[in-house]
Amino acid sequence: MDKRRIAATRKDGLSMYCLERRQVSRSKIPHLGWLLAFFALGLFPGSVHSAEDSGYGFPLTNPYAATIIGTPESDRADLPELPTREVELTIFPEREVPTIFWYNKRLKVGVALQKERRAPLVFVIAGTGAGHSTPTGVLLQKILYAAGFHVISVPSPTHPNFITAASTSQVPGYTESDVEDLYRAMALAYASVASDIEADAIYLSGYSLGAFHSAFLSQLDREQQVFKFKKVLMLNPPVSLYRSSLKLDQMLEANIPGGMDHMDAFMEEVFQAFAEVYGDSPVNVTFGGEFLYEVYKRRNPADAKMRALIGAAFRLSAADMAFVSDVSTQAGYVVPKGSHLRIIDPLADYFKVLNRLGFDPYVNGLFFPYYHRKTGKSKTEIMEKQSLRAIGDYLRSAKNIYLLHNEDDIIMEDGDIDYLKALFGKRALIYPYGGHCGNINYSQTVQDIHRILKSGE
Amino acid sequence: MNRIFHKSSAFTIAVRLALGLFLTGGCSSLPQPAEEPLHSAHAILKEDVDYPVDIFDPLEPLNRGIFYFNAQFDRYLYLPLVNGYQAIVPDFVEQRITNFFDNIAELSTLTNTLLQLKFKQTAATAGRMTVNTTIGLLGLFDVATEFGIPKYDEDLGQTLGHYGLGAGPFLVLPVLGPSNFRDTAGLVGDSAVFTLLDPFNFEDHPERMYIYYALKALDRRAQVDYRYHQSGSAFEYEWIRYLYTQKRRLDIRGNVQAKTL
Repeated sequence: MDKRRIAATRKDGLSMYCLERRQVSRSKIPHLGWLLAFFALGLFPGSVHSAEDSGYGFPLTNPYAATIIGTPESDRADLPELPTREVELTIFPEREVPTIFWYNKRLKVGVALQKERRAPLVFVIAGTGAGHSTPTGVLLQKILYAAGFHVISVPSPTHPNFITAASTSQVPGYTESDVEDLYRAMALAYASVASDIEADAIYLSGYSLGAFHSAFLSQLDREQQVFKFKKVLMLNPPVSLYRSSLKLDQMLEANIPGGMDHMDAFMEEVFQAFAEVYGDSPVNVTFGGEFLYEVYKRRNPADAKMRALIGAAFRLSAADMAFVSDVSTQAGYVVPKGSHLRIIDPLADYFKVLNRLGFDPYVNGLFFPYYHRKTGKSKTEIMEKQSLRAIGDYLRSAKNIYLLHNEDDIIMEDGDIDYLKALFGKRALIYPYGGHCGNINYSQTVQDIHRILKSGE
Repeated sequence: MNRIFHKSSAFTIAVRLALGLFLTGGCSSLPQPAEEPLHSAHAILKEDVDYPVDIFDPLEPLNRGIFYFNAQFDRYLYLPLVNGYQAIVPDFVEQRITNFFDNIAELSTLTNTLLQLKFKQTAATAGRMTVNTTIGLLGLFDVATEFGIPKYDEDLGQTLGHYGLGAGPFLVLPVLGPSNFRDTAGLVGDSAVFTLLDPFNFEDHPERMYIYYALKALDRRAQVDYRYHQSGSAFEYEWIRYLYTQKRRLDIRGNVQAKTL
């Protein structure tokens, strides 16, 4: 990538000033980042032993509860308000964006700068289906801001905004190209703030899929040397992208009361529960997974229902992703090829069909045919590349990459945590509890993150 | 394609034409229908299922157009004005303005709790308005909440729903956003009550009216965090339509819990 061709268009006149969302006290729930979950039947620790045994004070030992509720209020670290500004970047000026995606033409990144010009800069990469302002990401941004960083937050390559504005292929999931697209976007984002800051070092962080991408970004940066990341901090990445996503997809189907035939009735219940939450806090309108987590707080469903809820969240996200990809590439997956959808055209049927289909059909019907045509590789070969194991040697030798994870993270397969422990050695910090990203703003986690970032300066 | 033709010799053009005729010779000359997608609606969706996302919306193309207009209006006019308002006006004053309009809005709660025969709520609302208008200095301070008087929220749309009137077709109102036939009638009715009562005597002092409505427009928008298309989802219209409709059902029912999840 040619550094000299960085031509960011910082649209000051049009940048939208994000009103800091008023945090209703009960809605301080971390977003899962559309978690890629592995449904390990009966393998989650549950209440096998209490938190005190291990000397770790995180109170929630049920990983689903931890994932959905996050850190209880009294255990949270005190984090500052973020002076976030939304910046819009034009990545592909020549690209013709489908009319119905007009609002995603420019990539929306979040920028939070320190008062002093001179400070280290950190990029935060969002989790699956998340934009820059999704709650879990915001927590991580606050932690880093509190440590004195300028923070630039980037949407996930699986988010509709990224697919439309920043992705070359517009078929997300192929890590090699997703990471190149991210790298380009990050360079343009940096250029847009370069005159306002003096970055004495550049760091990289991400949660869930964002952490996964961070590993590959670090490797790319070693070749390209644009940022020369001083440290990389990965929070709760999956190891195998494909296997985790598949299991998450099955989470929904395996847990609907009465089976798949009752999925529509179940979704109706889910949506009604959404509406209750919406009814109480219409000012805090966001869609998809975050609502589900509010729902949990109100309804306190059993584990099986929680899994179904998490699966439903993932499916809604996958629906958004597949639709944008389909229309942008005219793949003929659910939208007939050659359709030129207009703003006034109803889309509900596509929504219904996609919710029925889920993630695996996307892989078989859109993702794989596209990359098979492009690379000639088999499905197995392609899927194996989408794994941290594919860059295991690099990760083992990279002394500046740190990992935070949880033993009971619901997205991990058998042996994944052990594999990561062996790979990262002393650079891994694995807590006994926390679910998937549930303990990000737990006081101890925040202390540990600050310690890691400041050590060896 | 054009470039290929220009460079081709007459011979290759002839070959192409021949092939073309050969291949289509046996086919009908009617235009082919659009290619079916891999997963089509009529293959996947079931006839007898009521999908939650299907809300009665016969004016959908019009509504979607207005939704689009609202997004543009918000971005290029409304939000910049609101941001300017918030930048210029001190927080303390903004809060007073918000309280002021909240107090006035309780008028509609007053009349509609009465119409719905919810007298306890009427009494509480009357109490709130009295306290806030007097001790609270014309509503600038929300003293009633400090005193613990509960706050209700009723409007004519809910009243009509309470008495059995269905929502009717979904509507997207310019600037105001999602609504439906019944709720729009309710909005008109509630406004009419306020206009008739004319508590600030706009009839004799029209300049008051301009200031009132301008401030109200800015304040009310500032209270709502919603940003069009911030979710980035292609189905945002469907979401808004569904959530609005369900929210109103819950408002009318008095937030009764739905089936156990």
